[in-house]
Amino acid sequence: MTDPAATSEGVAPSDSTAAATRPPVTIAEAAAAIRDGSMTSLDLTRACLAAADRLDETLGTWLARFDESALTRAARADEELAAGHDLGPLHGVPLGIKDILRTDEGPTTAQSLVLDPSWGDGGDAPVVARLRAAGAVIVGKTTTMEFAIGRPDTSKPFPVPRNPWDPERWTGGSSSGTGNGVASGQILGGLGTDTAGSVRLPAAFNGITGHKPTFGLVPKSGCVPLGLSYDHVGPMTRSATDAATMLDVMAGPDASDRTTVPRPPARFADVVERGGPSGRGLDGLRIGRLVNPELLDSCAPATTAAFDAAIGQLADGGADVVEVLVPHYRELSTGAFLALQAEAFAWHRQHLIDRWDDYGRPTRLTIAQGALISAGDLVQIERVRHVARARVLELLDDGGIDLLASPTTGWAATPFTGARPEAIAITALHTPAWNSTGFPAVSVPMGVDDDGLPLGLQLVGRPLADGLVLSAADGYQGRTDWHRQLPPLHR
Amino acid sequence: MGDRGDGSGATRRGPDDAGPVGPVGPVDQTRSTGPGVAADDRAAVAALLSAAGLDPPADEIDRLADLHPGLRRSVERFHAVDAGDGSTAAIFRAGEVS
Repeated sequence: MTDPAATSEGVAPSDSTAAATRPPVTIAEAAAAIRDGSMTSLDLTRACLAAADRLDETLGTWLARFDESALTRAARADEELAAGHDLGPLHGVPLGIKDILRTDEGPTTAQSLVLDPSWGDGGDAPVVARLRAAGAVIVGKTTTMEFAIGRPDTSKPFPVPRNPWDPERWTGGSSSGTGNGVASGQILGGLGTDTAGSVRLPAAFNGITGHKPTFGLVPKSGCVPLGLSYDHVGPMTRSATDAATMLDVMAGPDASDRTTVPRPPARFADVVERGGPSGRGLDGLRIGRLVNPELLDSCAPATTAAFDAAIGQLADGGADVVEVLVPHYRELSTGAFLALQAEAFAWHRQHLIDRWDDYGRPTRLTIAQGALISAGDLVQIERVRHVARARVLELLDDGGIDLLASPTTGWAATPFTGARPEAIAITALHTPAWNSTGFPAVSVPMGVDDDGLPLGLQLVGRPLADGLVLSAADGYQGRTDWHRQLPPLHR
Repeated sequence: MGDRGDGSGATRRGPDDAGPVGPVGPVDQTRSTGPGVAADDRAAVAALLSAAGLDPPADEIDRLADLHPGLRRSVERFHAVDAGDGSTAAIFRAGEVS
């Protein structure tokens, strides 16, 4: 649902005429173009591959590309659609898969020399299989950070992902290649994974939309684990509508992942289309704006200004915005990092013993810290996690609050050299608390900083309120066009 | 590693090697940035790593010892929270079938 009313801050809604005359940049536009005959899936896939040919050397998006199978699948999609066999809005749409998820076409590396190539022999991860069954064109495997926890590492034979808004800056991680691939138009969407922010952080830094679903909504089997009780698989797209479209295909239980839960009965895209569960869009929502001091203190002035403007848009759309202090916010944030280190150490211990030097230095030292956390420490971290989650739910219930809002990060994409210390401090991340609670959280573009780099707005909801979260994000995107702004390096 | 596999990232200007401890930025924050390591921390870290079967080089033990006080401070915050009597870390169900 989009709100036709133009609003303040000099941001105009998208121009539907312009959208109709240029190549599609959203899944929704692509699906329409493929069906109205203005573009075939084969045309679109060729255009994406050509963009990859041109941009990958600079942006480091891909670890593996499946050009031949992608073109074959796209041609088949055109034939199927011509024959009236329509698999839905992802049919014929080029997507990328973060290279810690298994795919039929090729090996999974986790961007590491350590992972046994046979690890991916089991075929598609369930979530990949679901996208494939919906007709998606799998273009290839996108870059990450080693095992989704390392750093850009020039000592290893892997690309360094770079930001299409400024290649001297980071993409964020760890779903780096999916983030810069969507932002630069090499793909129209893709899969990321998020253990402490790895979908939402690159979404914010690249100026796209990234959704971390409710924990358990999407099966994560077939994904190299990082922190098993904090890992989430999520869609990365240009718009919230597109994220809902992908999530509709991705969500639902799978016997291979015992943490999965039943999905809500309504299709997420339908919830978004009708303006949320209430049908009124932003109107009548009660949104809690986080005012925890550690969060406020960690934001750059430009981030604070953009967030104020975003809150203004939500309020202009009819939301009732109130200030909230999230209980145990610091514990929820730091607990995700501590517990994931312990969980990662449990998975990596034998490889660390056998192949220490094959890990990148940042990766091995980060994971090895899990050996410094005792069993009693981890139990207490998890006990506090349960208490804190319950307290946050009480806050929402007692205040009648539908959603929480904060900047996704305190600063925009940081440069590879000369980053400000406060911009790369742990406190600049506002994502990990919601991995601890497992609540759904989306990051959408909310403006740019003084250097013209994208900034992210994060909206968080109750468990399984993914439809509400995405419909509110869509309501915001109906009032702004930050999500439609393209970086200098784009298809 | 697929079509790419050329290690081209290594030929471009890459992340530098400075910066404070923290997981947000692109820099390798596991490089040592401070002065000496407290002997107690180094001994504790070396013992824990050894017990876990790990045998990192000395400079990396030093770096982990650098990080150890901050890690412990973070962990101790959790022990200061009253989590009550009924909150378990994990729920085990004997009847679970999958």
